[in-house]
Amino acid sequence: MERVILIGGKAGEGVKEAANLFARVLVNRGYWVFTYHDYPSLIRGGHNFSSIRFSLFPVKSPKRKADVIVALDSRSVREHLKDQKPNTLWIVDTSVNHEGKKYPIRKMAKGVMRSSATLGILLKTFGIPAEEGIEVLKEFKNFEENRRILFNAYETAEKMEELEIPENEKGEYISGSEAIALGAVDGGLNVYVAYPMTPASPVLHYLAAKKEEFGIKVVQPENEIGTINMVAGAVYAGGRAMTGTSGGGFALMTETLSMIGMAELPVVIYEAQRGAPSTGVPTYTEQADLLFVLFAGHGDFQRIVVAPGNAEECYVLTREALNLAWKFQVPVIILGSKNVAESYFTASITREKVIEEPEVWNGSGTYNRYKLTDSGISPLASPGTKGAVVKSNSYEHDEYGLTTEKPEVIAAMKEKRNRKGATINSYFLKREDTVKVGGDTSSKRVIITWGENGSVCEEVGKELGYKVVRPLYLEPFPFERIKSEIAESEEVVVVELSISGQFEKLLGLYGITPTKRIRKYDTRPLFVEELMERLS
Amino acid sequence: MAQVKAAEIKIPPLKKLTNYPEKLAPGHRLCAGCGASIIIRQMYMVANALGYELIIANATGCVEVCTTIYPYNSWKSPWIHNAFENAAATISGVEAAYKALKRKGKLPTDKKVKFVALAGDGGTYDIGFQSLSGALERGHDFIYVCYDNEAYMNTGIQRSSATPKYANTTTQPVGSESLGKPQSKKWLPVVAAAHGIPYVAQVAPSHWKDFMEKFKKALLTEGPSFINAFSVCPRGWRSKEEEGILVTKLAVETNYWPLFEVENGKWRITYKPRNPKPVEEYLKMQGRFKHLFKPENRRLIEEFQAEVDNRWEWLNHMEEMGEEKC
Repeated sequence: MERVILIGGKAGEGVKEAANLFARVLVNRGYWVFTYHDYPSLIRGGHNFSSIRFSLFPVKSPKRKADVIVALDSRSVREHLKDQKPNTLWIVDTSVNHEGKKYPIRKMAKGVMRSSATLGILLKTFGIPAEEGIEVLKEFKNFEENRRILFNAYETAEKMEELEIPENEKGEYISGSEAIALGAVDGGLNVYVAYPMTPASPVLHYLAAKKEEFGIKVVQPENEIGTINMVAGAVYAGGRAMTGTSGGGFALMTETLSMIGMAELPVVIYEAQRGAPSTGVPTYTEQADLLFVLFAGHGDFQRIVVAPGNAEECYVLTREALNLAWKFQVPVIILGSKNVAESYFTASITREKVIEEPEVWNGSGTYNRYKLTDSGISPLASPGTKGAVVKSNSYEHDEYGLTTEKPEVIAAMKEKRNRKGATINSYFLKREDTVKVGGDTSSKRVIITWGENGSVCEEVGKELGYKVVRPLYLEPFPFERIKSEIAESEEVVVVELSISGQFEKLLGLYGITPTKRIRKYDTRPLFVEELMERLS
Repeated sequence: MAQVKAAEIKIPPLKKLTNYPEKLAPGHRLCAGCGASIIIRQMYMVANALGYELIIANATGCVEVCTTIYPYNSWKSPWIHNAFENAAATISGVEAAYKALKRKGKLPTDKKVKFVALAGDGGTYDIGFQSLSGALERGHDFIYVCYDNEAYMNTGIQRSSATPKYANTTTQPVGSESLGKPQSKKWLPVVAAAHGIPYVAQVAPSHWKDFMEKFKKALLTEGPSFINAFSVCPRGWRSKEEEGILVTKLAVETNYWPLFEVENGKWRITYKPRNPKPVEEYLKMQGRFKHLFKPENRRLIEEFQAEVDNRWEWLNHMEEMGEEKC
C-alpha cells in the first residue's frame, strides 16, 4: 500500500504545516513517510505545494503523481492537473471551480491555522480518528483554537477510504537539516556559527532555538567571511565548531578555507546546494557545486567531503565529520542539497554521542604545532595548555609555527601535509562503508549517483533491475570500490543534477566512463516516475 | 552649495505629485502593509517632480525578490541586481562608467540622472557594510537608501545588527533562557555621518513631507548621501498589516526613530515631538516584543526607554554643537 497526498495553496496559508501535521499522524501510526516541500522564493502569495508520500514500506524519495490532491485555490488545480492519476481524489475549497469533494476550507480558518482545517479533512478522508490529529497539534500555541478548527473540519468531511494499518514500529519524523543539527551536537559541537542562507538556514534556526538544551553557543555574524573566520577562531581555541551555508556563502568562505588548509584547523562546513550559479534558484535543488567544493581554495591542501542522501546519513555523516576534522586537522565539508535539507523523512536515528579524542601533545619538550611526523598529523594542543605556545599560521611555517621562506623548510612542511593526505586515503581505503550499494545488487546494469538522488535511484533500481552505486565520501574519492562494483557491468548510467555533468567529470578523473547519462537541471528533484521513464 | 539649491527648488504639492506615472509598477509581491514599497514610491515622487531619472542597484532582499518575479518586473527605471553584499560597489561601478562615457561624448551631458543603491538592513548594516563604507569614502555621486526593517525578513526573520534589543527573531529566539536579541541596534546613520559625506538623513514614510524634503536634498547633493528609512514589516514584527503607518508614526513620536539629518557636518533634528510618548506604546503594537510585557520583564522596557532617551539626548547635543559654531 502506498499513497501520495499533494496539498497546494498560497504561501502563508499553512500548506507546509498541514503536510507536516498529517505526516506526523502517519508516522505515529507506523507508516514510512517522505514529505517534499516545494515553495518559491517569496514571502507571501505564489504557489506552494507539499507532497506527502507514505507507505507500509520504506520511502525516501518524492513521487509526482498523487492519489489525493487538496487544492486551496484555483491555481493549485491548474498547476497540478498534470499530477493526477485516472482515479485521483480532488479535495478543493468551495471557491474553486473543479470536480471533487468541496469543503469550505478557506472559511474554516485564517492563514496558517488553515493547516488544522486541512488536517481535519485529511484525517476524516482516511478514516483516522480525530484524536490522533489533536495529538500532533499539542505543541501549538493556540492549541484550543486549532483543536476547534480541526474538529469542525473533521465533522464536515466525508470518509472516503480505510487505510491498511502498518505493523512497523513508529519512527521519527525528521528533516535532513534537523538530522544534521543533531549529528553535529552528538559529534561534540560546541559552537555553531552561520549567516542566513537558504537552504542551510533551518540548521541555524533549529540550533538557535535549542542552544540551551544542547549546551552550545550559536552565533550569527555579519556575513559569511565573518562566519568562517569565527569558526576558525573557535577551533583554534579548542572548541568543536561548524558553519552552514549554500554555494554563494561558501564562495565567500573560500579564502579562509585555504587558510584553514594551511593552518591545519579542524573546521566543518555544511554546504547545502541550491539552484546555481549566483543567487540562482534559492529554494530549489541542484548538484552543481560539486566540483567547486572539491577544488575550492588556492594552493595544495587536504580536505574531506561527505555527501549524505537522506536523514539517517545526515545524522551519521555530520557526527563523523566533526570527528574526522579533529582526527586529521583538515576542513571537512558536508555537501548536501535542498531536497535533503528541507524534506522530511521517517528515520530511525539512534542518538548516541560519538566524540573521538584527537591526538594531543604529550607535554614533553617544546610544543611544535606543526611537528613533522610520519603520518603527517601533528599532535594538537589548545592555547592555555601548560608549557605550550600554540602558533597557528597562514603563512608557510616551520614546525614551531614560525613564518618561514626557506625552501627546504617549505618543502618539508608541504611534504608533511601531503603525508597527511596519504594517511587520510589509507584510513578510508580500509573501510567498507565509503560506497553505498543498493537497488538490484546482483544486476549487471549499474547506476552511479550521489547525494539526494540515492533514494530515488535505489527505488527505481529495484524495480527496473539496476544496481545503484553511490559514494558517501567524495574526497578522498573511493574510486577503487566504485570500479570493483562496476567491473562486470554491461551498462553504467550516471545520474546527477547538473547540466555539465560535474559528477561524470569527477568519475572521468579516475577513469570511470559511463555508457549512459541522465542529467536533470530544472532545479526540481528527480521524481520516481521521471527516472523510471528516462531509464526504460 | 546643496543647501542653496535645495531652498530654491520646491517640491510640488501632494496632489500634483500623484499625477506622475508610478515607476514601481503595482502587482509586486511585497506583503500588505510593507514599508519598503511606500519608501520607494515616495522616492520616485520627488525624483519625478524634479525631473531626475533614478538608476538603481538593488541588493538581494525583500524588494529585489518581490519586484522581479519571472516573468514580471515592477521597475520602470534602469535597475541592476548583483548580489547581497555589494549594492554600493555595483552602483559605484555604474556611476564611474556613466561618468567615463559622458567624458568620451558617448552619453548626453545634460540629463538629470541620479544613482541609487537600495538595500535592506541585512545588505547594509551587515554583509554590505564594507562595500557601503568604501563607496561613501570614495565619494561617488549616489544616494544609498536603506529600507531598515530590522531583520532578514525574506529568508526567515533572522536577526541583523539593525535588530533592536530584545526583539524576537528566529536566530535569537525568545525562550525560557533567552529574552531575544541581547545587543543594541547598530546606529548606522551615525556611522555613515562619520565618513564625512555631504548628506546623511534618517526618515520615516509616515512623515512624508520630511522624507521628501530629505530625498530632495540627497538628489541635489553632489557626492554620496546616505538615507536610513524606517520600514515597517508586519510579517516579521508581528504587527497588524493595517497599522503599518501607525507603527511608523509611533516609532517617531516615541523618539525610537528620530528624524534627523547631517548636512555638511551640521546635525539637525528635523522633527521634535512636542510630548514624546513612552516607547512602550510603540513596543506593544508588535508581537516581536510581546515577552517584554510580562510583569517580570518590566525592567527591560525601562531599559529600552533609557537607551532611546540616551540616543535622543546625544542627537540633541550634536545639534547644539552645530548651532554654537554658526
